[in-house]
Amino acid sequence: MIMSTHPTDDLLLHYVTGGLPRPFSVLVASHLAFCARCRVETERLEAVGGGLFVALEVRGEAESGLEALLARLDEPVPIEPPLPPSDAETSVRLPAPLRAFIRKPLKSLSWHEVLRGISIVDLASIKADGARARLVLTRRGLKVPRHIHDGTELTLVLSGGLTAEQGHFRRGDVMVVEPSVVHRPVMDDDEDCLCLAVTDGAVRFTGLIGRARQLLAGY
Amino acid sequence: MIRPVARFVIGLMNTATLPSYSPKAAMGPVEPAARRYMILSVDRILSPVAASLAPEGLLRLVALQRDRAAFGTLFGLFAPKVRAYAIRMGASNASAEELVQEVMLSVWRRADTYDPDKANAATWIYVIARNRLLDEFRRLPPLTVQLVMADKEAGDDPAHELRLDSQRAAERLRMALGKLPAEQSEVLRIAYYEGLSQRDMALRLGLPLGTVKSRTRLALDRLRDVLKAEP
Repeated sequence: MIMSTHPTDDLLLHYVTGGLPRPFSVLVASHLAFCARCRVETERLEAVGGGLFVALEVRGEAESGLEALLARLDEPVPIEPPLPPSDAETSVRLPAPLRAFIRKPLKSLSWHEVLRGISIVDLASIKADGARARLVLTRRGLKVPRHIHDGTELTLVLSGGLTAEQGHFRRGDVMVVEPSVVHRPVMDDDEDCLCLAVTDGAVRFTGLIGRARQLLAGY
Repeated sequence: MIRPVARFVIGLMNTATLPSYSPKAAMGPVEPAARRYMILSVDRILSPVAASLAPEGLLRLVALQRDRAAFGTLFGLFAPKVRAYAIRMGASNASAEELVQEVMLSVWRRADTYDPDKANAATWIYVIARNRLLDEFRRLPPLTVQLVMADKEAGDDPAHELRLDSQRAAERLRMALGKLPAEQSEVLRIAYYEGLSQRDMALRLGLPLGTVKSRTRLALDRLRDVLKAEP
């Protein structure tokens, strides 16, 4: 298996063509804020889209909407609301695509400790299309109990780092875990690890202790 | 038929900024004198010039001079494509109509953010249309803004040097798309025109997922080579 710290080619294509479930889209957009390689690749895929867009066959009749539109050109432009002010830590940790959905400082979000040393926030504003997104804050040096994902899970590292079967990941990197892969990430020692985790299935701990705690935490 | 006054105005403009279309030349600074004459010109007068420009030049005219004739030409070129795209993506006739209006209005409003070094005009408009469609269908906080911000936040962009010369690449791309084997072009069209995942595409086409993946990869590799190749 080739170690990668980027979204797969399939995911990038699906992101560009617009069909990717929104939570995954937000994660990919956030990764792009860190990753020049994927930005270039995205632009190439969009250029292909532009070529196919021009190649679209159109029906014979001319477009009739121009007059109506010309009359609207002088309408005032709606002003996009700026992002609400946040604290320094939040601005540093979260790339803009994510800050647009998380409109509060990190420390005032409703964190739940699901296992000792692991706290999560469910990001309801991003949840859609059968997939959901969470922020996961894991204490530095922690070994996460063995667990398995029913769906595909993408993790974008926002601070600290972690090592798993898939490789070593630092800020800006994306770890892709395919369904039914058992994994037990270990956090780097230097800093607590904040991640954006997106999945279209449930997470199940497979070890006895992990499972018991998961039941107790209602997670 | 161009009226004398129109010929006069166009003549002045020609000497200043618009001798013939070339993407780089059209991007140059507009002399104040030329700008004054262009503001004087009305739609009807400018249209013969506008009609002879490539879309990238038209976008520039829209950005610099708020040129309605140039915009009208862009509308004629791209509104039918936006409509066709919306309908392929599953929009009703009524919402496709609405989408055409919204997308072309965004083109008018955001023309000054268009960067010809980054994408050709068709790609830029395609991306606006795609983002509008996503916002429309999902009835959720708009993603468009966030994607744009991702771009801005990236700031001084190391990716810049890796970028293609977008206009020349677009021409090569068009040729390469035409030459793809039918089975490869089919998967690309379904992916881009309908936004399907490879898994859904495999179901639709009754093909193994691996086949869809390899056809997509072959097609994109070929197009990527075209986009990467030195002009």
